[in-house]
Amino acid sequence: MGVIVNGVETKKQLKRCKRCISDTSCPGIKFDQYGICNFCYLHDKWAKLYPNNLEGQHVIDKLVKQIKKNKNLNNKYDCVIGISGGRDSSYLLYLAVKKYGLNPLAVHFNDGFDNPVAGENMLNAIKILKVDLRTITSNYLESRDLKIAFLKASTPDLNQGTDVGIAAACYGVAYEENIKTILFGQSFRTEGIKPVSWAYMEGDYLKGVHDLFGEIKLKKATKERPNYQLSPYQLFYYSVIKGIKAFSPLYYESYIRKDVDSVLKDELKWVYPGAHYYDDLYWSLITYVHRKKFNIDFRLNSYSALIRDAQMTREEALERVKTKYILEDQKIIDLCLRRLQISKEDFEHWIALPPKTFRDYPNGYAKMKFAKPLIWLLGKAGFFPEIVYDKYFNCGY
Amino acid sequence: MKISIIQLLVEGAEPERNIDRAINFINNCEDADLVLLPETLDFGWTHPFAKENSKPIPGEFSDRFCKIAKRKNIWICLGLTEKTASGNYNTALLINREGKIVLKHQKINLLEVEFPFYQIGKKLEVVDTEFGKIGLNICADNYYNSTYIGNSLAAMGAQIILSPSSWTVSHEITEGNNPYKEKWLKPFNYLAKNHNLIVASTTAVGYIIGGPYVGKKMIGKSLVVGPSGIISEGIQNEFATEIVEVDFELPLNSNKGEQIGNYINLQKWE
Repeated sequence: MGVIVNGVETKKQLKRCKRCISDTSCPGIKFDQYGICNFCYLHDKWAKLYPNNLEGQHVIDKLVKQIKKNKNLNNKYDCVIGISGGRDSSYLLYLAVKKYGLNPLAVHFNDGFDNPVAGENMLNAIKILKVDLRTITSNYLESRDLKIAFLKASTPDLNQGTDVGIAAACYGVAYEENIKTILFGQSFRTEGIKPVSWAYMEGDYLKGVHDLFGEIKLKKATKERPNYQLSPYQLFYYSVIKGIKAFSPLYYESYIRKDVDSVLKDELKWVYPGAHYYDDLYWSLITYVHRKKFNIDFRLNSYSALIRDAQMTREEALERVKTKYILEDQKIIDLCLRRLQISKEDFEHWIALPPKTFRDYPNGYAKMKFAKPLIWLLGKAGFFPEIVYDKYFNCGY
Repeated sequence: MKISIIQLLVEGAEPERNIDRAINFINNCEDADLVLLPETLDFGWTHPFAKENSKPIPGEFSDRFCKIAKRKNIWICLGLTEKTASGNYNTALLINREGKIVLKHQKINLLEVEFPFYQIGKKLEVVDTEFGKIGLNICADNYYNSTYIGNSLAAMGAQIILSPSSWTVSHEITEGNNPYKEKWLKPFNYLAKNHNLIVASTTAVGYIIGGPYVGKKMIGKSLVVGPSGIISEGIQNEFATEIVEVDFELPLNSNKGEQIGNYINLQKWE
C-alpha cells in the first residue's frame, strides 16, 4: 500500500521528512542521516536570518526609520504595499499603518479572478485604515491568454501571469509615484518553501511560454505599467538604477495564523476567504491540476512551515492532507473554465499532456545564474530580501 | 424616502452567485424603503452566456427578489435579462413591499453593441407608489442625446427616475481619475433641474469578462442627483459591493402637459 496525499492514494512509496511532512514528491528534496529534509534546514537558516523576537523588532524599527528617511520629501506615501484581500497582505497593511506608523499606497492587481470575499476585505481594510488604493487592472484578453498558454505549456506554475503581474504592478506604481520602498506580505513561516520548478517566476519565462502558446500580442509595457513584462533586466532597473527596495516585514513578525485572523476580524472586519491562496479563484483550478497532473499538494509546504514554526503538529498535518484540499471546488473550477471560455474537453486534453517545467521553455534563468553573485550581493545590500537568492538557487530543482 | 443603493459586484455568466450576493446585501439593508440594484445583474451586461440561459419575468430569478421584498417589507428595483418569445430584453423591475412586480421597463436606447443581445423596449410608464410617482429607465436611456426618455417619464409625472446601470470604463482607469466627468452628471442635472425630480442610478462593479466590451470594467461611482445637484455619489472600486444610503424627500414635479415643453430650454444645456 502507498500513501494518501490530497485524498488520492499513490502507489509510490514516498519518503517523508521526519520533522515536517515534505516528501519525495517535492523535486530536489534531500534527507540527512536523521531523515530531516533540506527544506527544514533552509527554514532554520531563514529563521536565524529573520528573527521574529525582540531582535527582529529592532530590525523592523530600523527598517521603518530607513523607509521614512528614503521617502521623497514631497511624497505623500512612505511605501507601496501589494494587497489581495488575503490574510498575509491584509495583516501587513494593518501592521504598516497601526504598528509601523507608515502611510502606504496600497496596490492591487486585478486580472479578473479576484475572490469577491477578498474584494470586500480590501475595501474594508482601506476604508478602516484610511489608506489610498491604486488598482492596476490587466487587459483581460492578455490575462486570459496567458492562463491558457500556461495550461498548454503543461507546467505547474499556472498562475505565472498573475504572479508576475502583481510584482510588476507594485514596481510600476512605485516608479510612477517616486516611492522607494515596496513591502510584500509574505512569510516563509506560514507559506513554506516551494521547489524552484514549482514556483519559478520572471518575465522572460512568461514571455517565452506566451510566444509559443499565446494567441494575442501582449501590449507594449511602459516603466509605469510593466504589465506582464518584468524580466531580470527590468527588475535590475527598478531595484538598482531607480533604487526601489523590496522588503517582507512579516519575516520579522511573530506570525501566528490564528492570532492574526482574530486581529483582522476584529480590526478590519476581515473574512477568511476559505483557504490559503483563495483570494484568487483561479487557485481552485490550479489545485485540481496540481493534484491530478503533477501530484503536487501545496499543503505539504505550508503545513510543513507551520510544523517547523510550532503552529501545527505533524500528526494533525498528516491527518489533514489525507483529504482533498477544500480549495478544489468543482463549481469554482467550472467558473474558471467559463471565464477562460475554454471547454472541459480542451482543459482535460491539456491536463493529459506530459508534465513539464520552466526548464523546457525559454527563460531568464541563465541570466540569473550569470548574475548569481550580484543577486547575492543585492540581497545582502537590502535591495530585496536575501531569501530571494535561496529561492532561485537553493530550493530543490 | 430612504434608498439603499447597492453597487453590486457582478461576475459575468454567474447568475446564481450574483443573485445570492444581491440577496445577501438586501438582507443587510435594515432601514431602507427601497433597494436599488444594477442593470442585468444576473449574467452581467452583454455577456453571451445570457443568450441561451436567461429567464422570463416573472420567473426563477425575479421570484427570488419578489420573495425577499415581501419578507423584508421593502421595495426593490433591479435589472435582469428577460427572456421572451421574441428574444431577450434588458429589463428593469420595480417590486413593491408585497413582492409584486408593479413596473417593468425594457431598455430603449440600446448601444449598437447590445443589438445582438437584446430587443428594443416598446413602452414607457410610471407608477403611483406610497412615495410618489416612480419611473424606470436603464443606463444609456439617460445618455444626454436620449433625454427624450427621461423627459417622457417626467411628462408622465415621475418624481423620481430609478435607473439600474452598468457604466463601463477602460481597464486602464485607476483610482483618483473620475472617467465620467460630466457624462452622467450632465443629463441627470438636466432632467432633475428641468423637471424638479430626482434621478437615482446605481452601477455594477466588476471586470467584464465576456461579450463585446470584454476587458472593460465597471467601477461604481453611482449617482443620485436632485434639483439642487448631487445628493449622493458611490465610491470608486472595481472588486467589491458597496452600499450607499440616501435619504431625501421626493420633490414635486409640478409641470404638466405643455407646460413642460414651454419650460424646457434645451439651448441652455448645450
